[in-house]
Amino acid sequence: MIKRSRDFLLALAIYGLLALYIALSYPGRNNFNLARLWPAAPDILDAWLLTLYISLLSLFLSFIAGLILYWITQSKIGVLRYMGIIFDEVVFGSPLLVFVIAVYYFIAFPLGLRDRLWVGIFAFTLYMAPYMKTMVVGAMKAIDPTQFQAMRVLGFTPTQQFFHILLPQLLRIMFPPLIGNFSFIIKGSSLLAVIGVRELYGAIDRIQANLLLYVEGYFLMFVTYLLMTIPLMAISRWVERKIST
Amino acid sequence: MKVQVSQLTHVYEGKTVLDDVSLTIENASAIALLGPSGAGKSTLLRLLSKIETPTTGSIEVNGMDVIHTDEKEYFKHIGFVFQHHGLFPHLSAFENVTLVLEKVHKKIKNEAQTIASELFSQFELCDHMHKKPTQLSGGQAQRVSIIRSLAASPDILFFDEPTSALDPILTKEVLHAILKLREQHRKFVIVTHEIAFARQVADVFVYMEEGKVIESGPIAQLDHPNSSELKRFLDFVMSF
Repeated sequence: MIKRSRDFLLALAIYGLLALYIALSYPGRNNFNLARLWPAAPDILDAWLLTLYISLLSLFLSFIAGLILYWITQSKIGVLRYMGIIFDEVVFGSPLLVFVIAVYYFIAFPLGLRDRLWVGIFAFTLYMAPYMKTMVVGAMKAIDPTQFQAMRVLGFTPTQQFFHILLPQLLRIMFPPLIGNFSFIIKGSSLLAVIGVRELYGAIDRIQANLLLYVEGYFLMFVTYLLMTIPLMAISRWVERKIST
Repeated sequence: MKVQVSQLTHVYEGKTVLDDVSLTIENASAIALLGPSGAGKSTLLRLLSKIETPTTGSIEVNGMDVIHTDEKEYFKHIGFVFQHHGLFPHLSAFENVTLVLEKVHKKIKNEAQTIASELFSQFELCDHMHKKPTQLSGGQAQRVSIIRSLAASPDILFFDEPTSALDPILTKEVLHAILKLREQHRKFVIVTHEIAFARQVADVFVYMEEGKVIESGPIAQLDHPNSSELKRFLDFVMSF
C-alpha cells in the first residue's frame, strides 16, 4: 500500500515536472493569466452543467435505445433484425462529428426540429445505441444459459424475467463498460458545438473569441473536462469494488 | 405417474438424437433414465418436461398432451433440476425460492417465506439460506435448486444428471436430498449415471443407447437384464 502510494506520487511528480517544463518554455508565458477569464465564470459554470445534463440524459436515453436495438437485432422477424443490423453498420461506420451533422441537417432540419439541444441529445442517443447494444450483448452472454431455462420452467413472464432476474445482473456486469460509454459521451458532447449547442466546448470557444484568451481558454477546457471524467472514473472504480464484494 | 411416448423422433442440428422412441410406463413413482453418454437420456427428459419440442411423435405425462398443452400451464405441474444449479446469483438462496413463490405463484410475502423456511429446514440448509449462490458449495447450490423446484409443489420433478458436476462427497449430499424426496412420496424422473443410487431410489428404469430405448421395466429387472446391451453396460459399470 505504501509502495503504491509512493509510486503514484512519483508518477504525479514526473507529470508535474513535465507540465512545469512546458509552462516555463512556452513563448507567451508572460501573458498567460487565467484570472482574466473570471468574468466569464458564470457562463462557464452554466456550460459545464449543461454538458453534464446532456451527457446524463444521453446516457439514459441511449441505454434505453440500446436495449430496444438489442431486442430488434434478436427479433425473430427478419425485417426488424436486418433493420437493426443496418443501423449498427451505419453508426459504426460514421465518425461522431459527421453523424451529428447528418442528423441535424438530414433528419432534424427536414422534420422542422429546431431545438439544437434536443437534436444534439437525439443524435447522441442514436449514435450511442449500437455501442450500448454491444454492451448488452456481452452482458447477456455472461449470464449462465441455465438461468434462462430455469426462468422459463419456473414460470416467470418475460417482463418478470427482465426486471427481477436479468436487469439486476446486467447492471452489475455492464457497469464498467457503461461508465466507459458515459466518459465517451462527455468527451463527445463537445462535438455538439458544431450545431450551435453552447455546451462546455462551445461556450469556452465563444469566450475565447470574445476575450481573445485562446491559451487560457484551451487550458480551462482541458481542466474542466478532466474535472468531470476523473471523478467519474474514481466513482466507477469505487462502485465496482462495492459490487464485487 | 404415467408416461406415454409414441414414435418420438428428435433431430438436433442434423443429428437424430432420438429415433422413433415408444414407451409406456404406468404407476411409477420414480423413473431412472440410464445409459451411456450420448444415448439420448437428457433429450428424452427435456422433451418430457417440454423444455424442447420433438421433431415428430407424441408425449403424454399424467394424461396431459405435453406437445399441445400451453407451456405456462404445463410448467405449473412440473419442476426441473438442471445439471448446473441455475440459481440467480444476485439473490440469496432464500430469495431464489421466495421470488418464484411471490412473483409466479402470487403468494404473499409471509406465506412465501414460511414455505421457503420449511423447505430449507427439511433439507438442512437453514445455516446457508442467506448466502449468495457463489458462497455455497456445489452440493448446497444444487440442493437449493431442488428446493426452488419443489416450492410450488409440482406433480413431477425432472432431474437432469444433478450430480454430474459434483465431486463424490457433494454428490452424496445431493443424492441424500433426492432420497428424501422419495421418502416423501414425490414423483420424479431422473437421468443418472449412479446405478447403485438408481436401484435405491427408482422403481422403474429405462435403458437407452444411441437414441433408442433398449429396455425398460421394474428396477429389480436390473439384476436380470433381458437385453445383451444392458447386461454389457451393467457389467462394464460394475467392473469399476
